[in-house]
Amino acid sequence: MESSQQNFQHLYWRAGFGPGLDSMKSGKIDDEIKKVFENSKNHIPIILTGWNPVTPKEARSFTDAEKSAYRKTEREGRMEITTQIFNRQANASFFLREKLTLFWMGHFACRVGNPIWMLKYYNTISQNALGTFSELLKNMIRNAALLGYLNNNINRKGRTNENFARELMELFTLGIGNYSEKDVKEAARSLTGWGFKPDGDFVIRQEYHDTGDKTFHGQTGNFDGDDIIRIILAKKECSTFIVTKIYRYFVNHQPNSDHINKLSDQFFKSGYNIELLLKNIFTSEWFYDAENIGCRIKTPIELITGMVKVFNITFVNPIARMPIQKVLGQTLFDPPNVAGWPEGLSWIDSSTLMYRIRLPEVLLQDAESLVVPKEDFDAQETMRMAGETAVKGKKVKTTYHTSALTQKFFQTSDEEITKSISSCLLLTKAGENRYKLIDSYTAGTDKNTRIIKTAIYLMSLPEYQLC
Amino acid sequence: MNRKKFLQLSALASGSVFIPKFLNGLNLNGSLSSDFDGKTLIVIQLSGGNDGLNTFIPYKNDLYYKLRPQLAIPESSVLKVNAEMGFHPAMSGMKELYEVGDLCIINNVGYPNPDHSHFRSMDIWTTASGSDKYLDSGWLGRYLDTSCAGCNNAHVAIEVDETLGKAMKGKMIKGLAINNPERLFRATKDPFFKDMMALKGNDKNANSNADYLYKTLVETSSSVSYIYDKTKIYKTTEIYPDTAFGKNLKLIAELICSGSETKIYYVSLSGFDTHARQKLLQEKLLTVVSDGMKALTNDLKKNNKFDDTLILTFSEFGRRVQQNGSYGTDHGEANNLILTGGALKKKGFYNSPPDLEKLSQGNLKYQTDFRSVYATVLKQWMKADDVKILGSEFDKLSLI
Repeated sequence: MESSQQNFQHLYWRAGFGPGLDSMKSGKIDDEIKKVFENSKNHIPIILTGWNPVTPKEARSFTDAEKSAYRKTEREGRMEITTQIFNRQANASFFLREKLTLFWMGHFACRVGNPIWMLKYYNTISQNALGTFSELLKNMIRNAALLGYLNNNINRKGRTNENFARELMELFTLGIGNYSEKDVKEAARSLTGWGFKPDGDFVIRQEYHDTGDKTFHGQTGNFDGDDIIRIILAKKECSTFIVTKIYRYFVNHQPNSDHINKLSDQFFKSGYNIELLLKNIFTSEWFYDAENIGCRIKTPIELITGMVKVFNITFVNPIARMPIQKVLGQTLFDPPNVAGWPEGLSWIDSSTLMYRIRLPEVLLQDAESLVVPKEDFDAQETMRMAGETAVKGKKVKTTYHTSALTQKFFQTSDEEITKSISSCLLLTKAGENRYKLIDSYTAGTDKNTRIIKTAIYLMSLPEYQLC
Repeated sequence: MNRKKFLQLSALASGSVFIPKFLNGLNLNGSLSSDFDGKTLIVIQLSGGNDGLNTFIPYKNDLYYKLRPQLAIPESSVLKVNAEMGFHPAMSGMKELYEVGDLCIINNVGYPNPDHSHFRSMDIWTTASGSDKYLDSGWLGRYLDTSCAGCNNAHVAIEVDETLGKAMKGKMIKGLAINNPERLFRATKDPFFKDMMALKGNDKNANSNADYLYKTLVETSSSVSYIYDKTKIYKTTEIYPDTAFGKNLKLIAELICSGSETKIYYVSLSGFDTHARQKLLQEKLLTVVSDGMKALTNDLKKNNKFDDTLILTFSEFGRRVQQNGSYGTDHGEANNLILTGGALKKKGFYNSPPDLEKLSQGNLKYQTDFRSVYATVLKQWMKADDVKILGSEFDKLSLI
C-alpha cells in the first residue's frame, strides 16, 4: 500500500490514539508498521507508590475520620492510575499496547474501585494484550476485579451464582447462540470456589468447590475453570467471535465476513496470537481501502487524546477530565455494564454530539462545562459511595502549548493554512465551503492566532469526529 | 406543524437571522405536531431485572416464604391491598395510587423462549422482537417512522437521559436524548456552530457518517430551542426524589404541564440486578420509583394532564423464585408490568397472582406476551398501526 500521509494517519488512529502533529513520516509505511510493533514489544507495568491498602478487618476498626481519610487516599490512588494511563495513551511509544489494553478492558468489562485491584486488572491485561488470547483469558478468570464484579466470589457448591459463567460465554468468548443454558449452569459449578483475597490475589476455596462431574459442551468430567476455557478455546466459534470484535473495532463497524473468516482461520491456527492478528490486519491492502478510512466514530478517549496530542494539553486538576469522559459515555474502569462500551454510532446522539463539537472550546478556552453523571446499571454501584464527584458548573482548567502547532505551519501561506492544517487533522476532506467559513472567522488575525484558531475550528467540525 | 408556527417558535427561541438557513436543512412535511391530541405516553424502564415477586407480593402464598426464607418480605411489613396481594413496604406512594384506581398491574408478562441475558432481554423488550430475532430499531422508533414520515421534530419523542437508548431509535427517525435543556440550548447558540450547520445542503458529502452527524446537529438544535422554551413556562412545587431519576421525572412533569407537544417520554432507572444483598438494594430503588411516581402523578393531576397520560413501567425480566446463596436472586423470566394513568379501563390487578408451583426451571411462567401490551398501547392510546410497528398481530387487552 501507498506510503501516503493519509495512510500513515489512518494507521496511527487505529493502532494508537492519533498522530498528533507528526503525521507525515518519511519512508515506507511497512517499516513504520514494524516499528509500531517493535515499540510495543515489552510490557512496563504501572506501579503505585506511597499507597498502603488496608484489610477490611482493619477498616472496620477505623474511626469515621480515619475512614474518610482512607477513602481520600483511595480516590487519589485511582486518579494516579487513570492519569498514568491517559499519559501513556497520549505520549508513550508503546501506544499499540495501550490501544489493545483499552480494547481488552472494554471486552473484559468490569467496574473497579479499589486501586490495588485496578492496578492488577490493568497490568494483567496490559501484559497479555499482545500475547495469546488463551493466556489472557486464563489470567482474567483469576482476576479479582472481574470475579468480584460478576459475583463469582459467592459462587459456591450447592448454592451457585451463574453471573460469571454466563458472561464468560456470552460476552467474553463465544457469543449468544453458541452455548446452552445447561452449559451456563455446568460452567458455574466448575467455577465454584474461585475467588480472591482482599489484596486481590487469586485463591480457590476448596471447601466451596464442586468436585462432581459436569457435562459441558458435550464433554463430561470433574471440570474446573481451566477445563472450561480449554473446551471453549477448542471451538472455532470462539476464534471467530474474538476476531469479529477486533475487526469491528480496528477496521470497520460493518463486518466483512470474507476478511473475518480468513483472519479467524489464521488466529485459530496460530493459537490465538493477538499480535499476529493485528499484524495481519495492518499489513493487509484492504485495511487501507477508502471505505475503511475515516469510517469510524472516535471513541471519547480517542477524541480527547487526539486533541491532547495536538496541543499538549494537561488538566490542572486531573479529576476535571472525568466528568467529560462520563458525559461522552466512556470512563476507565467504569463501563456502562458488563458488555463494555457500545461502539460506532452509539456514541452519537443529540446530546453527546453537541458536547463533542464543543470539546475544543471546553479544553482550550476555559469554557464552562456543566456535566451531570449518569446513573449506573448494576446494583453494587448504587450502594457504593461516589468516589469521584462531578465537577458541576466549574470551568475545566487546562494548560496547553501552541508552539509545536504554530512552528509547524508558520511558513505556510495564508491561502493554504486551512487546507494544510486540515490535511493534518482530518482524515477526509471537509469541502471548500467549510474552509471558506473557517477563513471568514480567522481573517485579520496575526499568523500564530490564525493557526491556532484554524485548528480549533477544524476540531469543531463534525468531520473531526471521524477516524 | 406549519411553516408559520415553526417560524414563530424559532423566533421566540433565538430571535436571530439564521432561521431561513435552518429551514433549508429541515423537512417540514411531517404533521405529527399539528395532530398532537394531547395524549402522552411515558415509559419507565427499570434496568437490571426488577424482582417483581418482592414488589407485588402474594403474601398468603406459603411457597413464597418457603422458597425465600431470608428474602421474603415478612407478612407484617407488606402493604396489603387485597386478600392475596400487597405492595413492597417502600411503595406507600404507589399504594395510594392503587387505592384511587390509578394503577393497573399485569402479572406474568413475558414472551416465549425467554432470554436470561440483560442485553438480549432488554433488546427484545425495546425492539419488540421475538427472542430468536435481532432487530436494529426500537418499537417506539418504529412508531415514529410510521406515524411521522418526513417529520423532523425530534422533540416529539424525548428520552430523559444523557444518551439515547434503543427503544426510541427508529429506522429513519430517532428520539432526542436530553436531560438538561438549558445547557444544551446555550450550546446551540454559538455563532460558529450556527453557521457551520447552515452549510449542510450546499456541499456534496460522500461520507455518510459525516452526513448523519450534520443532520443530527440540525435536528437537535431546532428541538432544543423548542424544549427550552417550554421549560420556562411551568415550575413544579412537588418534591421529587433527590436522584438523577427524580430529576428526570421532574423534567417530564414540567414539560407535559407546559404543554410541550411531545408524544413519548422515556426514562430509565438502573441497579435492579440484585444477585446479592437484594433486600437493601431493592428497597432503596423501589422508594425512588414509588416516590417519584407519586410526585409525577400529583403534578399531572394538578394541571389536568393525568387523564391524557399513560405511564408504562417495565423491567427486562423478573427474578428466580428461589433465593440464591448470596441473599439475592438470579435472572428469571416472567414479571409484572405496571400501567399508571387517569384513563384506565381495568383498575388494580389485571389478572391472577403468579403461580409459584408450576415453574419453568425455577422461574415464573409467562401468560401475557409483552407485545400484547405494546399493541394495546399503540392501537388504543397512540392510535397507531400496531401490526405494522410490531411486525405481526398480537391480542389486545382491555386496558385503556
